[in-house]
Amino acid sequence: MEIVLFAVAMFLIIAAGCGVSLIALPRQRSTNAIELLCLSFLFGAGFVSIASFTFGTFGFFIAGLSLRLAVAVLCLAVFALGLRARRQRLDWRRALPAGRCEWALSLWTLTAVGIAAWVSSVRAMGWDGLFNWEIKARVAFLSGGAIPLNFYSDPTRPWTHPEYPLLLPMTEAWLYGWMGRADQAMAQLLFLFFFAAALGLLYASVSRFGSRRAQVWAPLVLLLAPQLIFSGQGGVSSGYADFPLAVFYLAAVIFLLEYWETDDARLLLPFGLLAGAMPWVKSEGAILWSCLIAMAMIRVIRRRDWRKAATAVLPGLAVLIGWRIFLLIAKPSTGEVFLPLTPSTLRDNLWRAPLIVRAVAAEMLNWRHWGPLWIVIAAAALFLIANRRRKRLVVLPMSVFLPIALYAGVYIFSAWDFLLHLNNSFPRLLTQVSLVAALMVAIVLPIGRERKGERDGSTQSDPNA
Amino acid sequence: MKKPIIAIIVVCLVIVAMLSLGGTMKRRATSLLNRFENAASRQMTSKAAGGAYDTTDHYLKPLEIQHPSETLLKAMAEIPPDDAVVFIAAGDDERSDLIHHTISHLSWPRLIGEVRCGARGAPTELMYLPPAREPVKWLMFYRVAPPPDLTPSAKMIGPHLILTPASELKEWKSYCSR
Repeated sequence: MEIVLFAVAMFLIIAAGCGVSLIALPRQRSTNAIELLCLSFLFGAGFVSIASFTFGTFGFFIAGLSLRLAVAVLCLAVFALGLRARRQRLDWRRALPAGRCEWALSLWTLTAVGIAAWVSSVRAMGWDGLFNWEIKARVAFLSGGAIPLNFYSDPTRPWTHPEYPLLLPMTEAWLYGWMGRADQAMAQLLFLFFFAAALGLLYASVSRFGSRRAQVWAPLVLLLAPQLIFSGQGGVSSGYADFPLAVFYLAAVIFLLEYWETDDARLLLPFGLLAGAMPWVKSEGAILWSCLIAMAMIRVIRRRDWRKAATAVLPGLAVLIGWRIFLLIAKPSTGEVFLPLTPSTLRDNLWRAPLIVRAVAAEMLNWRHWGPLWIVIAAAALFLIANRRRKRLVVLPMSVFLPIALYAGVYIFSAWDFLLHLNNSFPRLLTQVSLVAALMVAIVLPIGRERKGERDGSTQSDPNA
Repeated sequence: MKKPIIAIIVVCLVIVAMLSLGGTMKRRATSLLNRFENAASRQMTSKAAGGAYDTTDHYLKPLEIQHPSETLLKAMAEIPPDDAVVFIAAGDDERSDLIHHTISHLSWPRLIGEVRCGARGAPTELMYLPPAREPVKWLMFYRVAPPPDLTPSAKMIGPHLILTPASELKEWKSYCSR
């Protein structure tokens, strides 16, 4: 019975997300069915968590079953609106593999999900997974679907980081609500959906920007890094927010890349919604959001898409400002992790910079965490930057290395032992950009093929490239 | 154009491979494989019990209780939700924070403070104490024996964990003397 209720909760998430996708995706865009399903899950998780938080926290005097039903009705209403507004061409053709080799490699992809499921079943959640995220889901479930205000200011629980945003806890609480109990093993299942969404998005987007043949390579690239699936903090089975954040980041980058390639300003709406969800997943999402908005603005300024630019910026701004206002009201009890971000702190701690650079390089070459992944990524980035034919793809190395540079720079302001702080948290931060890096590697492969084809005089032009 | 790009990539790969592998390639490769295996097997052996309390049961293993999460929930159910509890732990136990956080996780909405007794003469650490307006009515001793006056009313949750009502509180470090 619990599985059925879990399925109902997931169906409502995907239905709401499908509605949002159908409304937000631009007219005449050919959307792969797998891509639509993955986007539906991401949009749905964002929608359900925001709706549960808003209805539950700000009262409207509903809790428990009535809160759940109210959100469920909203999900179905959005789904109906999406179906009514549907303007996209669903592309089923590209959703399925063609040929024996593609089928074999697609089975590999499914095997990757199976491996992740097995690892999740034998592993407990990590420290942050339980104490930063799942605890809030449990508290929300026990309190009728929303976290009570006194939890945020609880002086005995500052270690839960009550100032962290709530996409994951509220989505987990949504599942708990439907199942009728808080279940830590079932909460880990949610992360498998994020993993499957990541693989699906990689599969669909590589064929959009690269070629069909390369679409199966991206999941294989992920298997190079034990940190993502088998071990480590921030991986799929750990229950941390870093992997879900990485999936949202990947989805947002895909739309940004498409905007750079096609100059279709209507893509800025789904881009803005996905990027705007990132600060709602994890605090670092604000940094990733800033990076993406900056890259989008480079194109917007050239194209002068001023009106559409608002659709890219406003969702993220609303989340950031809304959450900041809420924290002012809730007054969370938190500790100081960073020194004041002032020029004098920067001047005083600049000596840390070379040590940070060395530690960052050591982490990227840490085979136990990353295998050869970052070496392959560095090679792909160099190739892409040097490639003149697809200049716009430069957005990919930028979206991988700009956040890494900013993240590394933040440790200059760490209030703790900065190297200990870096060693503890930096692997997780790399997780957040690793999916985009995998996309970059997979896209580089067909470029090499195209160049070879041109040289041989047998052009293998891909209409979607 | 293609040749310089390939040259750059090859040079980078060689440098990185040399830096990361070093020594004799074969010995290093074997060691890397072992490290992969170790990392994987360590994670696999951190097998949780499964079920609704999968992770909390795993974290509470040091308590040496059967079904620790459910046992704790039963014990905590006797404490009114408005009563604050203070968890008093031996200072030499590295897992005391983990145990405190896990108990606190399961005990919502009760406030669960923490007092860590100093190891080998170190001062007692008062962590996450409830505010003065929330009087502490219960004490939980983890690997610390409660004072004799509290022993009659003490309830043993497991071999290392004792719960007792606290009618009159003393200075925190006095609970650490035994």
